[in-house]
Amino acid sequence: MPKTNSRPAALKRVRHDRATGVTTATLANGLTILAREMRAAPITAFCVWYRVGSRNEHLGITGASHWVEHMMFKGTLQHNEAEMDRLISREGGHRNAFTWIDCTAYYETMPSDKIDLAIALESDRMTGSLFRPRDVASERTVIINERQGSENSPGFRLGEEVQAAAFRVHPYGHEVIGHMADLKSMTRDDLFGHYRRFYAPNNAIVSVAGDFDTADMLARIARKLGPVKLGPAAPKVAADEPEQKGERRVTVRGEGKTDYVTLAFHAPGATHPDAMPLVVVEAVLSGAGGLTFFGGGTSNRSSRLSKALVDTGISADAGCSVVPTIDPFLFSFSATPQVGVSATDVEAALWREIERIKTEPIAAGELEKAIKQTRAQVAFNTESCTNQAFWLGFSQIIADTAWFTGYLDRLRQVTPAEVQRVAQTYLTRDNVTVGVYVADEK
Amino acid sequence: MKTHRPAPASVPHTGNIAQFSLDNGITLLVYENFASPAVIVSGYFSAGMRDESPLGTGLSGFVTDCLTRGTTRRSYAQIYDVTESIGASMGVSAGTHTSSLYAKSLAEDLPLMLDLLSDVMRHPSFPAEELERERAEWVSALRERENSTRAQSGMAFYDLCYPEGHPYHYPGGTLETARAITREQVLEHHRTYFSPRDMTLCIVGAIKAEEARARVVEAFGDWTASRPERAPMIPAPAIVGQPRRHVPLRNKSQTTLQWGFPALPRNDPDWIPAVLMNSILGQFGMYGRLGERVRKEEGLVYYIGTGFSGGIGPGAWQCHAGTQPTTVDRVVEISRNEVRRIQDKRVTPRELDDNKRYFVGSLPLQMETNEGIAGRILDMRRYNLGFDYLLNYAERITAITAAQLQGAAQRWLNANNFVLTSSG
Repeated sequence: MPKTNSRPAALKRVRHDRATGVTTATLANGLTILAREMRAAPITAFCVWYRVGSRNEHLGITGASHWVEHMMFKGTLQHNEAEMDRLISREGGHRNAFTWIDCTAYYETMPSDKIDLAIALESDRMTGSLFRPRDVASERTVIINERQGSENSPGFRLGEEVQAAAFRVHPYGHEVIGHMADLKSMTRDDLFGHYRRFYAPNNAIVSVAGDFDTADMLARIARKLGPVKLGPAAPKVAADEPEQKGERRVTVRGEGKTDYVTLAFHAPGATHPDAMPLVVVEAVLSGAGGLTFFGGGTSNRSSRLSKALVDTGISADAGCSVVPTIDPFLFSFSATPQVGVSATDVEAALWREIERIKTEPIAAGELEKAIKQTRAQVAFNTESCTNQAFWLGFSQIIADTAWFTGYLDRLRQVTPAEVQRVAQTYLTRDNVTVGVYVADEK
Repeated sequence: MKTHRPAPASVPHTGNIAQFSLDNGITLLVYENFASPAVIVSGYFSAGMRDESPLGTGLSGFVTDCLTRGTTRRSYAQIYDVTESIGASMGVSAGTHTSSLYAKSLAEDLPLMLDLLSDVMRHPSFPAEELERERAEWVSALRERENSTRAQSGMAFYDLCYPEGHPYHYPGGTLETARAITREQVLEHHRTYFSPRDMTLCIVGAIKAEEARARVVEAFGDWTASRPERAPMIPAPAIVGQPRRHVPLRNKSQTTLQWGFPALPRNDPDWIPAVLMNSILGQFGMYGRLGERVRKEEGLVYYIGTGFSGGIGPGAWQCHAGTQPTTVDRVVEISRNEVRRIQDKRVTPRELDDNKRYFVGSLPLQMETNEGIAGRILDMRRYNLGFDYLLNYAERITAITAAQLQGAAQRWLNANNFVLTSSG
C-alpha cells in the first residue's frame, strides 16, 4: 500500500507503549484510536466502537441500539446498501457488527492494501446513515424475525426473565434485542434520534490490528475520520441499581423435555478491584473463560462444577460465567438437569459448590491452573488480528487497553483469600435471582 | 516513519508444507508458524457413520465421545485434569466418512497433547460406569434436539433427501439407539475401525517440522491396526416431485425451513463453478441475490442462505431460512424464482467479477489462525486437490466464465424437484 507521509492536523495526541505494542492516539474531534501491528499475514482488522448499547436505552426504545446497528447497513448518500456490501466483499473483505449491553461495534477484516475502503465506509456512516422510512419498515420485520428466532430457544426466554427480575432500575434489565412491544411501536424518529445522540467521533473508538505501519495507519484514519464533526456529549447513564435485599425467583413454563436452572448474582463492573478475583472464582468453578467472549476456550470437565454436577449424573452440563461490563452486571450459573433429576436438586447442588468456595480457600494448584489456562488463551488470541482488534476496542469500552494487556499480570496477583472474600461478598442468598425453566413434556 | 514491508501473502504449498509418511500409513503434514506460541494438531481417519448399521445409528459418535472416558493409562478425571491444567483442548469426533481428531495447546505442551491423543485413540478402556454417564449426557442432548426447530427440520430433510441405506439418511443417533447401544458394540466398533492406515495428521504452529515428526513418531509410530474395506456407498437418486414434511413444535415463534436436493461431491470438476454460482445466489455480501430479495426488499427473514455441503460424498444443496409460519411459502417461492433466474440467464459480468475477486481476496482471511491454515491443508489432502492448489487458486478462479456458472446451475440446481422441510 502506498504510504502517506505528512501527519494530519487532526491527529492530536499519540502515545506508543513499547511493552504492549499498542499505540493510542486521539483526534481533535475526540476520536480515540488504538493500533497494534501484527505482521504474520497481509491482513488488517478495523473496528469502530460506539459507546452505546442496551445500557443506554429505556422503556419505549428498548432494542434501539441494535436496530440502529441494522440501519447502519442500509446506506448513506454516498453508498447505498448493496454498494457497501459489494465493495467490501469484492476486495475479499469480511464485515459485520454486533450490539452488546455496553457498546455497538462494526468491524471489517480486509487484505491490508484495501483497508482504506473500510476506513472510508465507516467514516461515511458514522454520521451519514439515512434511516429511510421504507428501510425502517422492512428492517422492523427482520428484527422481529430475529427476536422470534431467539424466542424459539427456552434458554433465551429464561435468560430474559432472569435479567428482568435481577434489575429493577438499571437498563441491563432488558435484552439487547429489546421488548417485542417496543419493536412494534418504535418510530423512525426514535431510531434516528438515538443515532444522532450516540454516533459521533467523541463517543467512538477505532481499534485496528494487523499488517501496517502505525504512523501511516494513523494518518490514513485521521484523514478520513478527522473531518467528522464533534457531536454533543452522549447522555450519561445514571441508573444505579439498588442493592438487592433478598432472593428473587422466576419460573418460565414452556414446551420441551428439558428443564434449565439459572442462578444470577449481581457482580461488580470490570474496573472494580473485586472483578479479577471473581474471574478466578469462575475459573475454579467452571474453567477459565475470561478471554473467550465469543465462546471457544477449553472444555471444563475438570472444573469443580463439572465434577460435582455432571460426573455425578445430576446435570447434563453445568457452568458459570462473569462478563466484564461497565456497570455492575451478573455472575451467572447455569445447569441442565439430567433426566429424572429435579430442578430443585440441581439448584441445591449448585449452592453446595458455592458454599464450598466461600468456606474453604482454593488450593494453590487451582490458581496456577487458572493462570496457565489464561496464558494459553492469550496466545490463541494473538493468532488473529480480528481478535486483537476486538480485545483492544472492547477493553477500552469497559475500562482501558491496560485491562487487556495487563490481564495476565492482574490475574497473577490474585490470592486465595481474595477469592474466598469475593465469593462470600457476592454469591449470597440475598443477592441471587433464581430462574427455572419448567418443561411440560417430562 | 519506518518503511513498511508488507507481510508475504503466503499460502501453504508443496514448498512449505513438510510431508512425512510413517510406516504404519499415517501421513503427517507440518506447517511452521511462529507468529504465536500456540500449536494445533488436526487430522482425520477412516471411521464414521458410514461404518454404522441402520439400527446402530449414532454408534460412531458415541464411541468417539467415550474415548476420553478413560484409557488403560489414565482415568477420565486424569485426562481432563491434564488437558485443562495447561489450558489446552483436545477431542475426537465422528463424521460421516471420517472421524476428526484435534488438539490445541501452547507449543511447549505439544508432546503431552500428542501423547494424550494417542492414548485415547489407541487405548480407550471404555469403563462401563463412564459409558453410562456419557450415555446419560447423550440422551439429554437428544431430548434438547427434539425441541430445536433447526435440528428437526434438518433431520427431516436428510430423511427425505437420501434413501434408506444411504449414510446421509440417518440422524446420527435417536433416543432408541442411544439407549440400546451396548458396551460390546462400542468395543467392537473401536477394535474394527480405528486404524492409522488412512490417517492424516496436520500440525500447524510454533514448532519445527522435524521436531513435530519426531513427536508424532513417538506417539503414533508403533500403532499397527487395520480396518476392513468399505463397500461402495449406494447412490443418492434424484428427487422426484416436491416431497414435503413439517415437524410441528409447540410455542415456537419462528419456523425454520430448508429446501434442496442431493448435489455434487467436493472433487467434482464442477465444484468451483458451482460454488461461485452459489455465492452469487445466496452468499455474496449479505446472502447474495436471495438476501436482496427476501431480507432487504421484503423483510421476510433475519437469515437466509444457500450452500453446497459436498465433501467426500455428494452432500446436498440447500436453501435455509427462518421466517414466520405464514410466510414460509412466500420465501420458498421467491427463492425458487431466483434459482430459475440463475439457470435461465447468465450472471452479469459485474456479479462474476465481484465474486471472483471475493473468492481470491478472502483467501488470506481464511488463514488468519492455525486452525484456518490446517483446515486448508487438510482439504487439499482429503479431496486430492494437490498441495499446489492454493498457489494456482487465483488463476483457476479468474478463468471461470459466466457460461460455466450457468452450466453448473443447470446441472446442480432444480426449482421443480426438491425436498422441502420445516419445523416450528
